[in-house]
Amino acid sequence: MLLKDFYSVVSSSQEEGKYITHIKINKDHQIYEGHFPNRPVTPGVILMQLFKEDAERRLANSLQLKNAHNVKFMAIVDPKIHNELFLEYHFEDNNQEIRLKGIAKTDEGISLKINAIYKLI
Amino acid sequence: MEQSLLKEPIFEVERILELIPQKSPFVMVDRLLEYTEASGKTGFAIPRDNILVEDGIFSEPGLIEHMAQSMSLWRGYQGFLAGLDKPKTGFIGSIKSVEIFELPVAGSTLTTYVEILQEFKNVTSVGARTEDERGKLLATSEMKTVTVD
Repeated sequence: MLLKDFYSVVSSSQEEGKYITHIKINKDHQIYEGHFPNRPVTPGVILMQLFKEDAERRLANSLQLKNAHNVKFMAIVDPKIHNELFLEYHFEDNNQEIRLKGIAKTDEGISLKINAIYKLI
Repeated sequence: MEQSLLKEPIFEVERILELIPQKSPFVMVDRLLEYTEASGKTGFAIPRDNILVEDGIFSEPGLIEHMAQSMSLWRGYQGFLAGLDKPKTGFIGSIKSVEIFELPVAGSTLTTYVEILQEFKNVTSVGARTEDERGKLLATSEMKTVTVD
C-alpha cells in the first residue's frame, strides 16, 4: 500500500468476471492537510491507485501503471462527506499486462471512470 | 518556445508554495524554470521521504501528480502576473491519456515541460512531458484541470 493507513478494505467480491471492492477512506489522513488546506479533496491520482492496489491483491502480483486513458473524475470525493467507496471493475490478463476498466462510486453516484493498462512486475 | 517571461528561475520553496494551492505533505513540484503565455518548464527534486515514494521509487501517482502540479504552478504564475494574491484551488478533471515509460528514483530531479493546449472558462487542457536528469523521457500526459474559487 503506497499511503500508510489511507484506507481499509471492508469487503471484496467477484461475480461473473466483475470485481467489487468496498473501501473505507481514513478521512483524517495527512494528505488532506495539503490537498487542500481547509478543503479536503481526495486526489484523483490516489483514487486511481486504489484500482492498482486492489488488482494487485486479487492477482497476488505487483503491477506498474503503463498507461491510462479517458480517466474521468465526475465528482469530488470529500472524505468528510463520502468516506465509503465502491470499486467496480473487470480486467483482462494476458500474462504480461492487465487491461482494466472500472468505476469508483459513492452512495451518491459515480466519482471516477478509469481505463488503465498495467504491466506485471 | 517563446521567450520566457520569467526573469530568473524560482527555486525558493516558500515562493513556489505561494503559487500553488497544494501544501505539504502533498507538494510534488518545487521550481519554476520558464514561463511563457502558453508553456512552462518546471522541476522537482524528489525527497526520499516524499509521501508518494515507495521502496525508493517515485510512484505512478507521484509522477502524474507532479505533471498536474506543474500545470498548477504555471497557472499560479499566470495569476500572479494578473495580480491575484493567492492561487485558486485546482484539480484534475480528466486524463485523456498518460503514458509512463519509467519511474524515477527518489533523490533524482525531474524536469517537466507543460504546454497549454486550450483554456475555456475554468477548464484548461494541458500536455506535459517529464524527463529525468539525463533528458530521458519518463512520462507524457494530456489532461484537463479545473479551477474553483
